[in-house]
Amino acid sequence: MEQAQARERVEEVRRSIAGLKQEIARAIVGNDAIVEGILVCLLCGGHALLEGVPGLGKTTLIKCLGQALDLKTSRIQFTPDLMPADIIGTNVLIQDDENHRIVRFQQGPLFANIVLADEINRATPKTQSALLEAMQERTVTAAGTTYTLDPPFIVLATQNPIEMEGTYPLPEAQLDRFFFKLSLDYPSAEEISRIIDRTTAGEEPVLRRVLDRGAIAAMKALVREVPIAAPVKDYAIRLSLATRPGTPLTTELVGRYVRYGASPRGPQSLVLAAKAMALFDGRMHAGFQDVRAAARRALGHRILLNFEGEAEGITPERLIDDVLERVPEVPGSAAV
Amino acid sequence: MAGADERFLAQVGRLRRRARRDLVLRRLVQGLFFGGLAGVVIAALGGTLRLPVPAAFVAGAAAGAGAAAGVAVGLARRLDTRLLLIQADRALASRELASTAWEIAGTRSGNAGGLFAEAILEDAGRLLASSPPRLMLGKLRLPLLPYVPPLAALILVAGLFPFDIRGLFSVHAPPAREMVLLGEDLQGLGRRLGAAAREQGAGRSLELARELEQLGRDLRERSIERDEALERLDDLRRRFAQEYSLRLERYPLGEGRQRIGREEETGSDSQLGERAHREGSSSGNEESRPSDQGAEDLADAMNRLDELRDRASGLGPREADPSRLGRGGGPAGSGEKGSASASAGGTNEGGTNEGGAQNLASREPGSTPVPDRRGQATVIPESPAGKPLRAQSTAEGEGEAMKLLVRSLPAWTTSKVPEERVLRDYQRRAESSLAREEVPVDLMPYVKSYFMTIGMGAGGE
Repeated sequence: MEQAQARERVEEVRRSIAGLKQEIARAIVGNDAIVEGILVCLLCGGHALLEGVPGLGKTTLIKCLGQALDLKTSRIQFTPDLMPADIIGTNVLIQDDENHRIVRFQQGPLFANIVLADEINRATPKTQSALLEAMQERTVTAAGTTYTLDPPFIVLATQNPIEMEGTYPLPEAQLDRFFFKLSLDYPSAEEISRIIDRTTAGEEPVLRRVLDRGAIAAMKALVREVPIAAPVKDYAIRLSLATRPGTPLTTELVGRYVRYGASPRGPQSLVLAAKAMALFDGRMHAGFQDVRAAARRALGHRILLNFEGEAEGITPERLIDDVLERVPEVPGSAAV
Repeated sequence: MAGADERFLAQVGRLRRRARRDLVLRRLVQGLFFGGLAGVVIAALGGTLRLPVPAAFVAGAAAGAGAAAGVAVGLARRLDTRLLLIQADRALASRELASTAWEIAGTRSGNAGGLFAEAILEDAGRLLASSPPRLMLGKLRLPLLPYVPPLAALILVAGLFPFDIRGLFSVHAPPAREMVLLGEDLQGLGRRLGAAAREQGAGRSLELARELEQLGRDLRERSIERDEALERLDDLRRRFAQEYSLRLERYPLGEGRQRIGREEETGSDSQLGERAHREGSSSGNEESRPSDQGAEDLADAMNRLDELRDRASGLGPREADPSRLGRGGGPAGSGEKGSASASAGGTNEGGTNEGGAQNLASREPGSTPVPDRRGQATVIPESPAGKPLRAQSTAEGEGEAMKLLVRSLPAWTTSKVPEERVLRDYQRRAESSLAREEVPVDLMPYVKSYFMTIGMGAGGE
């Protein structure tokens, strides 16, 4: 009985995610990996950092997600003069029906389920750090009062990698709070053709609701039920350790170009993401391949290059690929 | 739940048994190969080593021991089930289903796997049951197996045809032709001695001569190995010496001809031979009697045997054996060590040495080559009387002088070189080094001050 129920639930998740992807694909051309990454973050309770040049459909993607998931979305355009109160909210003096003046908290744009923090690196560190509490604690504090954000809560922050002038790069502590870093790429010619067809003829499609927040909460709980074999977990840990300089597993490239490697949040993200991806695939268990598939997205932004690495133009993704190539799934010899 | 658990564990047990079998087989073949390799070496050395049992048996036992050790290692080695299941997962592309199930089954008391535990165990059990172990563990590869039969064949061949490895090295094993020539010489010597002994009616000498002739014949026919020939040669040489000593005991030196005359009628062949021998030494002009010739022959035979023995050993002239006797009757150890055939006994110098020198007599008039301890001929000038010297007169026990090249003076030796000269020499060398700029420029003052300190300054020269 229990078996059948488990199988049914896994199958339901697989079907729902497939349906969700299909629905989003009606509005968004390409970017399947990005959509899947955002869904993984959503089900794992993490946040995603999107990196890509302007015009790749980041805002559209967020809107589509909100529509398909029936979640409240908001978009914050980060600018240098943006203040923390602008995103959190503030106490305002209002007059009620009886002409009494009262102070009421006016919620900021953070009070949503899906928050798009556009060009987050343009805001001052003060404003950026205001986002930290919301991302980590799922609460907001204003004028001494703490407000809980409605679940699910996911921040999708974007960074423009080409315009670095007048920006405030995210501090490492804030970068580490992002579950995944997703890089958007230019669409192919065929995808551009489809984008043009969809956006220049007729009306933009309105997406139907595929999942509600109850289903999302159930899925979130199910992700954590997925078992993972000890060797797989060990592999995630070793991958993470290999990104740090000065460990026995450190690769040559990492030892040369990395200042700081992945924190313990790295393997946490790897394992959780592997579980979620196993569920998306209709499996009840996570494997090495799931860990490998999550490695670039979960560890890339947690690696801080040293000066030599920056000067040589080394990317964290290249280092992750090197680590994946050199760290064996199972240490030691064969069983027989 | 328990059912799925048991079914899965049963399949894991099946997989483990199969893996164990493969492991034992693999180690067995490895053990057989390396044991067989050792066996081949043993069998190859069978002709060289003197083993108490046939070499093929020892070689076979080595191969068997290797196989047994391989099986023992295969049985003793710990099988890691986790690794085994990862291997199975990879082979079946099951994305670590079996490994996860093993994790769940291993922590049954907890809530590992939670909602999915039973389903995973069921799926994993079914997967393992439906997959042949060969597919999961991979094909059993025994890369050394093809080499085992050739090794066994080699052991067999080496057992059937023992091979003496020393035959490969000509330095230690003379070529067969040389041995044949040696055999001819021995046979000829034996024949001559036999004829003489027969003529003199000397029974023991005749017996020795026959054995010598037989040894020569065996060598010619190549029916014995060199080692055996050497052993027999040594034995004969020893017995010849005994026979010779026996004669000397019965006729002590200095008793004169009267005693010889008294015992002439009843004496043995050895007594007669010795008597005649001594008689000959005291009155060389007198015609030798048959019994004298026997002692002569014995002495000749011993010298000749020494020569042949050296040839057979292939090691050049050997150091003198203290037991060897010179022609003159004195122990050879009392004379020079290098010449095995030389007699240096003080009592019989002179006339008795003359006969013994025949074999190594110089081919050049006026000089006699005598092998020294390094095997090089040392030319000893002839004596004023025109007779070749066998050895220079030395005190008993004094051997060949050794030259030592002393490169540095030992601590206990009093130096004869004035200190100034030595220091001056050092100074010259130091200065030449300085001139060649081998010493860094900034260190030159230090070097200079050093020599000043030890008194090599201005007043040094």
